[in-house]
Amino acid sequence: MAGHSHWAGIKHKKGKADKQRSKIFSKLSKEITVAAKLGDKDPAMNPRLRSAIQAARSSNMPKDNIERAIDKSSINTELNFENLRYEGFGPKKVAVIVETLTENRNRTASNIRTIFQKAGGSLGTQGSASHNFNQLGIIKIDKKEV
Amino acid sequence: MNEIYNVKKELEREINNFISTEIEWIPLNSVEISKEMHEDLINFFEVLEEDDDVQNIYSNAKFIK
Repeated sequence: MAGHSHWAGIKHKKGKADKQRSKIFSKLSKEITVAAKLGDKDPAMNPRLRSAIQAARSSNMPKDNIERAIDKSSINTELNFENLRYEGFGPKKVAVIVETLTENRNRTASNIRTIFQKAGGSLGTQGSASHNFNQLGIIKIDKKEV
Repeated sequence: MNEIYNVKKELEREINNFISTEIEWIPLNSVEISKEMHEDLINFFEVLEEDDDVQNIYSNAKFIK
């Protein structure tokens, strides 16, 4: 999952690992399902799906799980997922960008606002925190390949 | 989003194993986080990650040992 690596080097509490893995798989699957729903089910024709599958493979998600997530996109549901970006400042005025995928923007906005406030920070308007960043296409390859 | 895949296609001539191909937010500056503050920041990020709607988080925190 993009963006997590910058604190991956810091020790995490043990035992949380399994719970985190299941949550990560769930989020990776969600992205696959939404990508397949919004475009072609063939990754060759759907860049977003291609990216989602690649991310899932990199996290060692089993092929079965990936296929299930793609199949799930065929299920007719009234739910419409949106990609929404929230930004603000966290503890120590750290600039934070949160990318979400939600079928209920009110719930998401409310939850995220609460998390920021509880941490002593706050959500900002669009651009308030993101001007501290550059949005770039990043292609990561294994060192051995170079 | 397609441009990044055009670049990738070119790279595929020489490279086989890609880890990821994504649009990411890269910080232009950083806020140094001293050891005493590590836990607060990590807890904050973890609570955000716990939320099922959250997919990606980017920050300009720089963890100092």
